[in-house]
Amino acid sequence: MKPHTIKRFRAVLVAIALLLPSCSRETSESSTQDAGDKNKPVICTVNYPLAYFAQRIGGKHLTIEFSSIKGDPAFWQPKAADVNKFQVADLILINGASYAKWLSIASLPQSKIVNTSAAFKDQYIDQSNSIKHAHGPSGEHDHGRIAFTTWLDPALAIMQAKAICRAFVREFPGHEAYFEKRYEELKLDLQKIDNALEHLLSDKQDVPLIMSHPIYQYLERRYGINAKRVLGTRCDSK
Amino acid sequence: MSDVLYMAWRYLVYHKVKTTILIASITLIVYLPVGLNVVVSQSAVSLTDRAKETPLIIGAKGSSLELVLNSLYFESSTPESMVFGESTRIFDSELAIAIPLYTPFRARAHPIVGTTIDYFDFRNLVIAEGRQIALLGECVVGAKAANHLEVRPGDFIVSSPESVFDFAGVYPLKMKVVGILKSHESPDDHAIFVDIKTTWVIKGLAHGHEDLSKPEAASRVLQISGGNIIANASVVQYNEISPANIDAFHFHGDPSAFPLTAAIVVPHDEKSATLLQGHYLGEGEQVQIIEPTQVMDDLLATVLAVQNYVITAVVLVSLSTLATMALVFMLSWRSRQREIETIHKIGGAKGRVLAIVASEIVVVLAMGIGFAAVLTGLTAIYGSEIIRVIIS
Repeated sequence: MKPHTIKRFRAVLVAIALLLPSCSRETSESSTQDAGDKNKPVICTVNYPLAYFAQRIGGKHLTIEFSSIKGDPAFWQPKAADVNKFQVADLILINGASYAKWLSIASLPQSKIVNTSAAFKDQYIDQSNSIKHAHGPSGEHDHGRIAFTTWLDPALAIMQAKAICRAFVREFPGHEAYFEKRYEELKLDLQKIDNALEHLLSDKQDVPLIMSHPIYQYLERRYGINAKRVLGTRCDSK
Repeated sequence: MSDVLYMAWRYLVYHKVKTTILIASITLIVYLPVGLNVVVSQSAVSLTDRAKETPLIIGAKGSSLELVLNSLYFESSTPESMVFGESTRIFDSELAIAIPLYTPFRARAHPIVGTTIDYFDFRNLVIAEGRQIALLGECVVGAKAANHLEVRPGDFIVSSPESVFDFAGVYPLKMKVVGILKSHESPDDHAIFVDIKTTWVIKGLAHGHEDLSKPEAASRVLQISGGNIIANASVVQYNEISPANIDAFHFHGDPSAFPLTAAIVVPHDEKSATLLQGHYLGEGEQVQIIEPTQVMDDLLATVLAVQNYVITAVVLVSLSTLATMALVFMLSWRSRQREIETIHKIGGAKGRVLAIVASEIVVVLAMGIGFAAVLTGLTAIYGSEIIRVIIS
């Protein structure tokens, strides 16, 4: 492989790393830097990308809480006390697209939930290859889900950030200009990543790119990546 | 003066039956209209208070009274259901928040109210013991329901089957009590609150069972065809949601199509309320939006009209009873002529005789009014309970 090609793929990996920190617990620590301030509204998020977007937009006016989620946020199994932390938050940012299965077993205040991907439900990637089963009179069914790593597509990530900005403006009036200015800065950064990836991958459609997990669907679709998956769906699977 | 009162008292005590009948008549004459008025006034306050606290309600088209009574008191028959997507539609409008309600199930005599924890903030319900619902299968119990069912946090409540003859119907669900509400002297005291998703589990729209793709479930699998697994009827379905099996619970179908009895709608402001009501005016609309106060005002107008008829009848009966009592006293006066002559002969003045008879009448009236006041007081204290029994 030529040196400049190696450099370009390294750059791709760096860009992906920026967009895909949700499977790693270590990357979430920075999101709770303002947790000590009790007077600020508290925003709970279900994964790191949303915590990062919220932190970038909310800045000094909000406390972003993500530290209570241990392990892989997508497959987290909360205890009652963990759910209670979300219940008392001022706003709960969820990813939508079936991300965070625990949401279906937890009791959360609907009035505080913001589904950041609600605006592009029609762009969800449907994975209909899951195993189906049947028992009793209700017929066959499956427990499959929609591909949930929506933020890997920078265009969708920008829409999620916009949903967060709108929610902040609506719920915490008085800081509209501050939130919107910071959203524009974040949008610019995401567009830079989008442009960089577009530039790097535009002529690589035929080159197989090995993916560790089958969770890069939105990235693949955005840039036409020829992805080859090697492992199961969970970050901790062997 | 004391001798006059003593003579009057001795006369009343000696004629116990007549005195008792007279006092009972006076008591009823006074109590019936006053007590009825207290009950109606209390029911008016009780009905309108809860209705005033509830800005708007949406539900399937049908009886608006049934919808309001079920949503506010969880007591009338369950109205037609609408889909959960209607609750989401309210949020999507950004004009209000919606608090979904699903109330077809009971645990013994107590309604199981499926909702979201927004309901607790909306009604200012406080947990007296334990904690808030956090996970599927948990419940928080109203103060009076907890006393009646004799449960504390950590105990379990089992939902009642919809029909004892429906063997293929909904299985009862064993729910863990995690909190007891402080008494709020409202219908919430008698209810069992669960997450809306838990009521869908009771309904059979979500369930938990062993993983059919695992080797230990092989004996329950009839056929594996491509990606499809067909199991036999021996698949064990869980009737209790515990930390060990909570992950096995899953929903079948699109939750936005799942049923709701109603949703309480809390608009952001008056303008939002008006705009929102306009959204439900279309001819093909399957959902109605109602102001509970309007429905309750209509109900009260009917109740007050009936009350007026009843009071008119009671007043007429009272007048005839008073006339009868006057006749009783007059006849009594005539039958007591020999007694009165005896009093005159032993030196009693005419005025003294009149004072004795007047004292008898005053004592009878005072005791009748006194008893009526006690009954009215009891009605005022237990009126809300009486109203609840009447409504249920």
